[in-house]
Amino acid sequence: MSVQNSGSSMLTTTATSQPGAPVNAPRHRNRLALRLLRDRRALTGLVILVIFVVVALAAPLISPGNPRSSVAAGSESPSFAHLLGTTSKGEDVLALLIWGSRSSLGIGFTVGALATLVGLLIGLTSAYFGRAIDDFLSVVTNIFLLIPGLPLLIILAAFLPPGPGTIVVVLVITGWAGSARVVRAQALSLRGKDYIDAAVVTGERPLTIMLREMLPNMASIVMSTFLACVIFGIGAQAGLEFLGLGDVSAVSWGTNLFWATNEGSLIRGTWWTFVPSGAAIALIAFSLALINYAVDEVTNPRLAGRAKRKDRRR
Amino acid sequence: MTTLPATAPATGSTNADVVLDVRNLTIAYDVDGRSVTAVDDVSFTIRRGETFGLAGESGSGKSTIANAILKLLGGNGRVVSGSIRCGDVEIGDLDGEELRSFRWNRVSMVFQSAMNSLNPVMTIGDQIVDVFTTHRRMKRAEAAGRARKLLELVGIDPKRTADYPHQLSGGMRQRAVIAIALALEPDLLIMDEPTTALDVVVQQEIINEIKELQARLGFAILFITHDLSLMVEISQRLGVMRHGALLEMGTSAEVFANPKHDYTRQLIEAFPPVRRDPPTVAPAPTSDEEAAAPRADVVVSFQDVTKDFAAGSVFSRRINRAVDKATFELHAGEIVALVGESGSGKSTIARILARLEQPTSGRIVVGGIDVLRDERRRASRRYRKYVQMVFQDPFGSLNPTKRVRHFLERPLAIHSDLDASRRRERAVDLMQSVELDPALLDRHPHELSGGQRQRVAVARALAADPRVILADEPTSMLDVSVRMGVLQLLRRLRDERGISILYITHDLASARFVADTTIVMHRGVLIEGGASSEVMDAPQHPYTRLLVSAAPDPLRRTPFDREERARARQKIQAIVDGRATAGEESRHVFVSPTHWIRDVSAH
Repeated sequence: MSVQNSGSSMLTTTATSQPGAPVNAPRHRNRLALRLLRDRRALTGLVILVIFVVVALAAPLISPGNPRSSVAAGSESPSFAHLLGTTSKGEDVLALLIWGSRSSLGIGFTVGALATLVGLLIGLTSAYFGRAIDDFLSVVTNIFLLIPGLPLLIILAAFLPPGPGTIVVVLVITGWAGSARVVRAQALSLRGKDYIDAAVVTGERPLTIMLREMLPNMASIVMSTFLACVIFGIGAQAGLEFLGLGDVSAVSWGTNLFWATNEGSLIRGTWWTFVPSGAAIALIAFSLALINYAVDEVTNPRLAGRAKRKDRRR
Repeated sequence: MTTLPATAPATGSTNADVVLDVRNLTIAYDVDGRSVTAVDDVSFTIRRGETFGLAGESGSGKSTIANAILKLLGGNGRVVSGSIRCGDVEIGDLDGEELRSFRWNRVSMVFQSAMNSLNPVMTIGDQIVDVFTTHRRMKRAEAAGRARKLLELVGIDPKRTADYPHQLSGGMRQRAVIAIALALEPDLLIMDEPTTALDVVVQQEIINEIKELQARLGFAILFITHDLSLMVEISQRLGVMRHGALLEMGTSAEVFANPKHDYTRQLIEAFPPVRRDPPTVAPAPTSDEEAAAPRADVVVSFQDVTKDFAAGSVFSRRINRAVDKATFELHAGEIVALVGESGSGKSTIARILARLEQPTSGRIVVGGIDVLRDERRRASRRYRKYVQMVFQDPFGSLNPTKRVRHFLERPLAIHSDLDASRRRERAVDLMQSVELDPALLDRHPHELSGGQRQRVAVARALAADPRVILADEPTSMLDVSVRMGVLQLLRRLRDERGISILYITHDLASARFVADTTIVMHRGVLIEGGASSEVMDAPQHPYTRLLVSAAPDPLRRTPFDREERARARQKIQAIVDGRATAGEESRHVFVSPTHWIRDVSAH
């Protein structure tokens, strides 16, 4: 019954869930997906994302044949035969866009997953063990955060053999530090909780504690770092390939842009060769950002703001 | 304002005497569109110069009444029916500027947590000056003078007016809050658990301070607390609340001596007296002969264990000694209470024994193994099986993402070789042994009440079938009526399973209730120990004496003496200072076979 003095004292607020009637607080993990679907922004983001994924998966059906083959005269503007026109080599821009999404999304999500995983392991280890291990890992993380990303990307990409594997490795190396830092901060606050000490006293091994006790309490932060890493992955891959440091023979949004500049489309005014790929990158980043915000808000009611002051439960 | 004696006569009062008149008050909160009654048809009056107590647990509606008097109910709370009159003012009719001048001028309030009600970026002097300049047309200089006088009145050195809240101790902060509340000489002072966060010694001093001020200034007090023995000591009349209803009301002494309601009796029993009348110094029948010879069944032995914490930066290293050469033993089937004020290092001892902290030096023998030598880096699973712990906060010690089942089955999976189906059966057994319904196994912690959670925590500790359980203030976060249940559970575990328990607490009364042996800790040093009855009925160390005498006692006969208290504090300080300089090997000296004391030189 202490709804009235929200936060006047820990004792009264926590002691509210009192005898008898069980409190019907939301089971937050089961409900997370449901509540996300009810959020308009999340829904918009998810719809855009799903469309992109479906198109990427169904590329051979929608646009059969090799997208690199010349199908028409060069530099045709958009028409019914070629909805987005053709490049100066006579390739269909729509086909390039559709096939390009496979590489861009594939690499983006792989980079996102791997960078989050590395960040998670390093952040958790750092926070759990503390002291010397934390000091060492923090220094390493900070160094990676401070190294200017693009030059490192360029150097690494120049030395390693070209191919999607290289790009993933390069992007994970430059992308994990941010998520490690976020995870460490969150894990540090969890490390101070009694239930982690209780797990230690129970006799749990460190790895079990990190993965089974701490990780489930960080679901939302892991989700949002993952999404941020995917955005980073897609953008950085496009950047690398635009600079010609990727595999220029592959088809991706980045290489589309690379060829578009190489062929001087800006000077010649063939805007249809670069606008679609650029817009696709912007759109996918936009959709992921929307989902990210929604996740943040759904898991952290205090951000929901505006009059909706629900009583805060742990 | 006229000055009246503190003990205003209960009889012969006229209407003019009544400071607060609450009639048939019903308050409801709107929760998720439903209306929940928080206060149900409550009536009481408070007369000038009187102290009226409202006792009850969290959720009983006592704080809601306090908030209603100041019209501080949140957006979703409203007075459904009834009236609150303060002198000639009907509080329900107040609005805007009237309400603003009513608050603090007529009625002011002292909140539970002083740190939260003081502004951390303003000096305490400025915060009082603020009250004067907002409510009275007063020049800052004049207000500053008043502020200094006021602080002096509540027992704070006026030199400290320029201090910020964090520079003051907890007791001083609470005094400052009281000074702010008294600044405009209100008719009524509402105190919502004003001393709950403080140590008993400080609590007693502040309570006496309030009583003296009341005698001098003549304001009335509405005192809210869950601690009935404290309430009986301070208030003339009291009411007991539960679930929003006033169960019983009467003069304090009468309610205490002769409770009408079962619930009142339960509350009274939850705070057993520290000292028994007459003193039962006669030691437990077995201890006399056996204690003289070293006992064979030692399960935990601390020898000169010291723990230093490094504080400060690289440039100004300081060392805080949290535990200083602690030596004690825990025997099989024994409950030892470690008693001390907050910051005395008692929890550090528990954490050292749980191997959550590494001691700086010393020797710890657990189950015949010198653990610091043989398991230097971290505790083995054998050790974890031997020593388990119950944490203070049942709301923090259970992982919110797990079900109750997880807490009981994990230790079984780690420490026993039962298969999955047998583990499920054991979990049901464990639930029953802590008197919980096994149906709760599939609940999440947030679906349980505080008492239920703490029982789950006890069951988790039991799952490993340990020899030793560390209980770090297991009841301090629980409501009064479930406290006794948890304490009795601890006793039963000892009786039935022969588990040794180290019970950490700041509450002497519960130590006496539950423990065979009590050890008193002060500033990192174990200063006195022995059979609980001996330590509390015949305390030897000045600090123990102070602690025992400060515990709330409804039947107190000797009045509080400020000078004597000052002398006692000086003496204790001298002992503490002596420790630092002398550095000699301080040993336990036995005053009886089961009762030892340290620092005898000062004795």
